Amino acid sequence: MNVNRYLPAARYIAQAIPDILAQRGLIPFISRYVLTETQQGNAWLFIVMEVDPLNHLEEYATSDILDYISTSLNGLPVVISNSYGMRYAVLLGSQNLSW
Amino acid sequence: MNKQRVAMILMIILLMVLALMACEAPTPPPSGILFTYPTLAPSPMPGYDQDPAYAVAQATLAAGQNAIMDLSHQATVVSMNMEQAANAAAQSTVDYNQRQLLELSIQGTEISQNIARAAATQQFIAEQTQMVLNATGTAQSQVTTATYSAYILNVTQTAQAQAVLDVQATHAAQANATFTAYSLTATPWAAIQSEIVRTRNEANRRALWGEFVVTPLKVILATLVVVLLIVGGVMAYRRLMPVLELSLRTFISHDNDSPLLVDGTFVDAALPNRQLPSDQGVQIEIIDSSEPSITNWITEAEEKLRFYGEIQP
Repeated sequence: MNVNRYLPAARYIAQAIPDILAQRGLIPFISRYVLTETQQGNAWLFIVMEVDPLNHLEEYATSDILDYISTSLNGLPVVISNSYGMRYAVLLGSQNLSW
Repeated sequence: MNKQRVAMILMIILLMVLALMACEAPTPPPSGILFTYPTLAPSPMPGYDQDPAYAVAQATLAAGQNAIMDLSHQATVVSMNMEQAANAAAQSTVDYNQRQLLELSIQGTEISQNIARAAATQQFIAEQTQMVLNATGTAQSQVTTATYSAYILNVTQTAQAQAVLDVQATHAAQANATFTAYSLTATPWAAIQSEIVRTRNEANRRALWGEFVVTPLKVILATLVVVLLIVGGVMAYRRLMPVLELSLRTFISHDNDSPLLVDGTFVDAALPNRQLPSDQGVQIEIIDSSEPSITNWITEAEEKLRFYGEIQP
């Protein structure tokens, strides 16, 4: 496993995601970016959002936003992960993707 | 012989003169001209033998000469008369013109006198009118003054009578009633006084309004504006500063030398294991998937991805 090969893609996404959110009128409350790869070969980039009671995070989890982010990232799968915080999970690479 | 011929010629001439005289004798003299028939006065001619015909001729000649002289005199007189008449006519024309001129001058003088008289009349009428107006105004003023004096006198007399008749409490009531009646009269002084009272009341009302309504309202509005500005600034800062900060951060990290955090250590992709400050550019943490929190994140994400059918189980 060598996750470093996903670094350019992860860097690209990390630089683009604030602008993508801002284009939809959302403030990018991003705290960190986490890149990892599973044993099955799935490389994930987690975009961790700040959890603040003043922020309306439900606006960040709509299907429209997820589709918009995915389209902006050339069709990479994007899901929301909101247990113990809120994160965008971008699947950078997988050996068993269906598409 | 010559004498006889001369005598014959003279005779012929005399006869012709007589014939002429005879022809002219019946015509009456013109009117206005003095005419007298000549009287035949025979004059003796010494040295000649005077026969009756000669005498007659001589007399006739003399008479003719006289008549001619008379005629000449009369013609002269007539001519003189005619000249005199002409002079008289011219003189009469001159006199007539002078008289006309004099009459015109008299008429002009009369007209000038009439104009001057009319102007004087107008001036007199204007002065009289002004005097009448002044007299009327003075009379009105005097009437007003007299009315006011009479009114004051009446009020004074009434007050004196009341002062004599009433006690001190009645005095106050009377003064109040007098003041009220005085301010309600139609005299100019009462109108001025009522206007002063009305103006004073209005000024007092405006002062009270400005003191208790306008000034506090201005203070409240100014305070409200300041508070709104502060709140707006804070809200704008809270909404916009993250975007600005993130944009600045993105701008700084456009180079490819962004630091990476691998297992808790900042590294550079170009130069692995290089320690970099944590505040430079976008930081990407590389964490092993065996980390419990990361494992949970991966599990949740893969479940959702399988739910949407984009990943094979």
